[in-house]
Amino acid sequence: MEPSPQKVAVGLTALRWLLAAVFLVAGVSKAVDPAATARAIAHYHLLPAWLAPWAGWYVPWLEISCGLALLSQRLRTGGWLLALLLSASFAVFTGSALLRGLDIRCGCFGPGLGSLRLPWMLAFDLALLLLGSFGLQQRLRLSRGDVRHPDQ
Amino acid sequence: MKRGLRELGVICLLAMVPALLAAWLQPKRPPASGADSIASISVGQASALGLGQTVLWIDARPEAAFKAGHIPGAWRLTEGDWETLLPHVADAWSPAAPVIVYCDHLTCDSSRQVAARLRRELPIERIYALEGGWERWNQARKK
Repeated sequence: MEPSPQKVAVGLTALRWLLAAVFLVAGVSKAVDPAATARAIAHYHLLPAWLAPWAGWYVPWLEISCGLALLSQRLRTGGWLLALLLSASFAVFTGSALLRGLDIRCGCFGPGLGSLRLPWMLAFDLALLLLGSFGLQQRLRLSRGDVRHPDQ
Repeated sequence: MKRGLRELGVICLLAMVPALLAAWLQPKRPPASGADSIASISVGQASALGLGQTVLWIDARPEAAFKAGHIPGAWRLTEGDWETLLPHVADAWSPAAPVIVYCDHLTCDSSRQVAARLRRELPIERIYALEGGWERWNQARKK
């Protein structure tokens, strides 16, 4: 049995707020210390050394913008898309670090909350990826007009 | 989907504004190389340094790499296991001894990261990152 549009709307709104909160917390906690963020990114050895400091500046604000876009009315689809892309990138970084046997902490929530071990972080990234792809899929369905409900 | 991609472009551009502002204004700027300035030392210089005094070697590689082989007498210390491993390193360290940190190869950066953090947490005067790391040390040993 298909859930009613109202139930889908409530679920999608809750999911959107949850993802927005995750990206806002992650972004703000990194933005307060870009030097630590740059170091955490450099530890993955996936970006050239000269690019890591720039990523240290930009990634936190990209996460904050993603959170705000998910909360906004006008940039919501782009917000879902960015949430999906960011989660996929984080999963690639974390997964590759695990495969290469790097002995590092993720740095995903800045210096304060960033002490999660990589396997836990990979599970978290994959969960975000799943939620993000589900949310984007629902959002695109709504945009196409397959279903109409208040989240639109 | 086109609309989503357009919105994505707008969000990415909007995110650049505070990022550039923060880069301009914020005091905690990331260093250009991603690490604090730590002097490098070649394998030859390191060997010469170790002739007249005890050098404290720090291995900043993962545990598996350390177990597979390391410089004799080296202590393992990584950012991931900092709290667990630092007390052992602190016990082995004496203020007079120069400290040399190494990682895998020329392009790895963890030796500099560990050296920078070590210098912040212990009053070490002479601390270096080994150029070329374990790879260069091994090559020199085989010659």
